[in-house]
Amino acid sequence: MVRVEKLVKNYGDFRLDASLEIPDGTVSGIVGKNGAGKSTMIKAILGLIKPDGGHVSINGRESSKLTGKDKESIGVALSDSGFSSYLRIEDIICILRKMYPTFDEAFFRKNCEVQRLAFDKRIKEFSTGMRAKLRVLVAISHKSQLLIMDEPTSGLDIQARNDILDLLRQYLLANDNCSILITSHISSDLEGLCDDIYLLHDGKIIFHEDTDTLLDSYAILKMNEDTYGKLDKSHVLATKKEQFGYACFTDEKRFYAHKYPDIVIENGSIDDMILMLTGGR
Amino acid sequence: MDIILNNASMVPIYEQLIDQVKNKIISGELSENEALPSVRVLSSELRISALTVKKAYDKLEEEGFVVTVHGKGTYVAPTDGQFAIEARRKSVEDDFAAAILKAIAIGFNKDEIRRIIEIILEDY
Amino acid sequence: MRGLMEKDLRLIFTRKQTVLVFIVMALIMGMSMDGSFVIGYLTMLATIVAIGTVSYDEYDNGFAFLMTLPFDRKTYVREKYLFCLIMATAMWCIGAVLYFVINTFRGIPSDLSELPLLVSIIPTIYLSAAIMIPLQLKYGSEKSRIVLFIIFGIFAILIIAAKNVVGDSDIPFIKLEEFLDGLSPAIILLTLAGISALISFISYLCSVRIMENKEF
Repeated sequence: MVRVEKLVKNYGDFRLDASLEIPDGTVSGIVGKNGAGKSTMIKAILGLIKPDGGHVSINGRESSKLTGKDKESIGVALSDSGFSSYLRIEDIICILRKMYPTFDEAFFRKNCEVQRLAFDKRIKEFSTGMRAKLRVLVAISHKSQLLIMDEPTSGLDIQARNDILDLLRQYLLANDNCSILITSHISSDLEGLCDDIYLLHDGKIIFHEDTDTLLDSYAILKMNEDTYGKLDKSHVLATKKEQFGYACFTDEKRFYAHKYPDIVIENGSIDDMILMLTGGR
Repeated sequence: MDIILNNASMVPIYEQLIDQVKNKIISGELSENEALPSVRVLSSELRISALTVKKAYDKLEEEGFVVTVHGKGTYVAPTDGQFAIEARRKSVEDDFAAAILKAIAIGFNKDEIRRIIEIILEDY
Repeated sequence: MRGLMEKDLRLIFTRKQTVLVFIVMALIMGMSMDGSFVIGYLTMLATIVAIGTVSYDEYDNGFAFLMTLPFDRKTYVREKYLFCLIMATAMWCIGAVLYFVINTFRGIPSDLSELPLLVSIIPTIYLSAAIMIPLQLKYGSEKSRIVLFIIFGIFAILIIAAKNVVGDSDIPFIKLEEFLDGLSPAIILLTLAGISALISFISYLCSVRIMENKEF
């Protein structure tokens, strides 16, 4: 269980001020634009930075006081940091063997082969996609109860992204009651994986919803100026002026589907949510 | 278990899932006491969130189609023939109800609805 | 801890060529120069290489990920001090063997009474590790070099200033030398080891503090 209570962290003009909770067995996603504070949040949860206020804890232990033992059950993949790029996978295997008592070497080797990662090449020589896969593999290969992934699919092509998401699904299947916290700015990646989604914007959580509710009940309504004038706006969360008229973001698409059969209703996606709620593209 | 979900549909994903599992049970494709895939297996196969699958399974259990044995899994509930017929009848009634609701929302009156049904019936 | 050691060893062996060149140089020096120089050289080398693993950890923002692995920050610091000590001792042993082999080769009889003085190389050189590690952790590999230069600069100025105060006479220094000559090598070794242990411990406490206040 990850609990973030009124976490505050200031970096110059930027201020992160957010709360969230990931119960055991849940897959939660944090989406938001670059610079919204996603990495800062992850770093605070991992105890890599010190909060200026509030509390962050993993399984009841304050993140700044996590012991080696606590960390054994957490698998981490960061977007911009990993094992020294001078090492080879063979080196990493030997290191992991001594780091984690639960390191599953057979699983790790098998998946490195599946993803065609060379064992005797330095990580330096790997492509971006291969490095990303390696980072995820390291995180999921020691039977951890919690995975924390910061932008694991960032900068990758669609095939590599799917490979990584499949690895995460594999992890979910193999580890009962495990949880994942994952951040991404490519939110379609999260739709088929996360149970709930947090939207972080300018350091604040401005939206939190179960993914299936988001996909089922939320929608973009598209209409011309006339219809917009007559529209009952009681379930409109955000409105944007478009060339054709107006686009409205709603959390009650059935209400509008029944009442206004003529307006165009597009099923909501996380991307729509980000665009509509954070204003502007 | 072959399940086809339509992301673009207005029907919520978990309802699509419920309907398809129900149909499989009613048609006998899934037999009594047969185990359903675990929540995580199904969510991973269908690439939908585990919570969605869980919601669907919970609803199916509520309606008596499946039973969940804690820590073991979800199974098709033992039924007698009568139950299956009932369920089938219920699901048809639900479809009618949905169509009528839609018609009323558009502004049809009851007579108009009856007329539509009669016209459709003439084709059979 | 064992995982960290494994990592540091493997990082060092990624620089196989460099290490090899140093050892060949040591061999050549051992052959050409006389005395225990080769032991000191190898021990110093090992210490520098061991401290160098901090800059590997730091390189490419590596610290952030490293600190998510299963150990706390204190363990990281402890491992670095231990690793430096192990490396220095191991290379000292190799150097010592080399020294005695070369001596035997040259027909110089080995004298075990030299041993305490030779061993005292380890605590002396370990002092440099005790100074370097906190600097590396605090300022990073680039800036720590500058800071080290400044510290040595201050030392140099102090010594020159001291010399000026004492005047041109060498008497105090000669007296110091006479005093040291009078001591038995074993006592010198113990004193050095004691001073080194004390300074290393203080340095360790500083390093732990630095590390615990760090953000990645």
